[in-house]
Amino acid sequence: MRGLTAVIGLIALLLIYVVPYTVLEGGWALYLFYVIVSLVTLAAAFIETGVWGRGS
Amino acid sequence: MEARLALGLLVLALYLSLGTLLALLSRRRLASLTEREYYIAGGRLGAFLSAMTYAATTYSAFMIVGLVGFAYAFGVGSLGFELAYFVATLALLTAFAPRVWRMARERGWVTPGDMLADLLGSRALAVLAGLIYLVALIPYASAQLKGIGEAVAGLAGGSSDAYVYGVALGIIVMIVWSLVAGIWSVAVTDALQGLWMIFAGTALLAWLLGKINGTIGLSATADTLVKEGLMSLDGFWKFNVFLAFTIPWVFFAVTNPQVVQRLYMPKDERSLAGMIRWFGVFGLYYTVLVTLIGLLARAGSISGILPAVEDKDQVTPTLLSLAHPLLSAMVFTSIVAAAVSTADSILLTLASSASRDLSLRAGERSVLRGVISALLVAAAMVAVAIKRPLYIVGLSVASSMMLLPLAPVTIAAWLGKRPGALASVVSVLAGEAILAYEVAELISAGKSLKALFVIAPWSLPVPAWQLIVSTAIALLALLLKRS
Repeated sequence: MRGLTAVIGLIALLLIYVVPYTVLEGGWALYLFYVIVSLVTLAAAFIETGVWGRGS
Repeated sequence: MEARLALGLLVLALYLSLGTLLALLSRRRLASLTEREYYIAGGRLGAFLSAMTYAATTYSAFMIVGLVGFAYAFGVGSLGFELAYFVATLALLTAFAPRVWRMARERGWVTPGDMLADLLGSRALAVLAGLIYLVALIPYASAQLKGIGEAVAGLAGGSSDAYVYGVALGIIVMIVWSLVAGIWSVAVTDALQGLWMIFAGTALLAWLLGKINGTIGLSATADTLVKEGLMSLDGFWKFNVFLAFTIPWVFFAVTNPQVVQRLYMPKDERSLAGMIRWFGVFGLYYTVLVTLIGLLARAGSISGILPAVEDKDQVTPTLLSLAHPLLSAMVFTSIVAAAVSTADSILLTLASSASRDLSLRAGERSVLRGVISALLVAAAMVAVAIKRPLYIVGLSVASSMMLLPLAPVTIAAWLGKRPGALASVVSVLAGEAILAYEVAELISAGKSLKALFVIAPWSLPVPAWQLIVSTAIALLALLLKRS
């Protein structure tokens, strides 16, 4: 799991820079897009840090 | 007006009394008067306090005042800008925090300057970083102090005497809460402040939702925002502007000493993990919350159920003037809380940096020296804030760009790479030189420093050039060393 959040976070960041200027032109879909990529990154952080300090 | 003022001051007084009581009680946790204990809790903070102090330090009064205004004026791009910071911070923390946390314990780091000097083998870099922290963060902390003064003045109908009282109150609270037990009193009061910010922000959003749902309805509100172009990036959020705003913030977790120092504090890896997780929950919730407040307020203005606001920084004060006095008092107090929690953390971090990183002789390091440094920094903050200068906003805006050139060498150090002492210093100075040149150009053209985020010399924004040049120098040095 090590590096999971870094990879997903980097992809999320890239999407935040690219998608709103190319694919999504606006509307509430753009709002949801921002929230969803952030939620996915947060979920990755929960998964990755869940094993910290447990001798893994 | 009188009743609103009285209630606002009463809630603030209750809040400050509770915070001061918690700060005094936290002295019991202070095991000894060593620098490690005073500035980083001896590496003994649990997950809850670690997360709350990280979040409350990061999220300043900018959120409930500035970001609400940004969302009101410029729409959904404001959410994208703040969430770019959020995802980058989670990625950086999970990638580097365990290593930094472990090395801080093994090598006895107290300040980010200790870390840079140790990992990059350059005492000069620690001194340079200490100076950059002071130049960049005193205006930023002064802006928080000014924010408290403005909030108190606003509550008292714009009185300039009230502004001075607000600044005086703010600095006294910051000094007491940061010095009475060092990081212990900061962390405990940060927890209170973070919870207050969440509670008050949620209550304000609920009130606004109720007001809008009871009049124009949520569906019509959503349509209005789309129709008025607030749900697209057309207009203000040109790609270069978005880049200029986000680049310094993407590296905030690496360049800002008050948050880097917080990586040294958790008592074990599980607390460190908890810090990242709960900071994430706090950050995402609070960001969505404040941007929704801004967007709904704009829809309310367009539909005529709320007054139109010309100055985006006046959106939250306008909402407070319309809300129930008790809600208004709670949110007003949360603005003070957010400003204090950011500024007292910066005050303590600058004190530790000034007394350690800028100290020429190691033997002179002591908590007393740090306390004296903190009082000097506090005096500088008041000296700037009391004049109520307009340029303070510009300077605090520029602060994120001043810190940015520290990012490449810090990340290189965290990756175990050493570009060398001279190259590290040159890398940082080159980034600062680019900023200094652009600032001089703007001043000579009579423009505001806010334009730093809009100009794009040679088609790229200023932070992009800073990052490219500083990174290129560090990389070149690494390649030369290898060859």
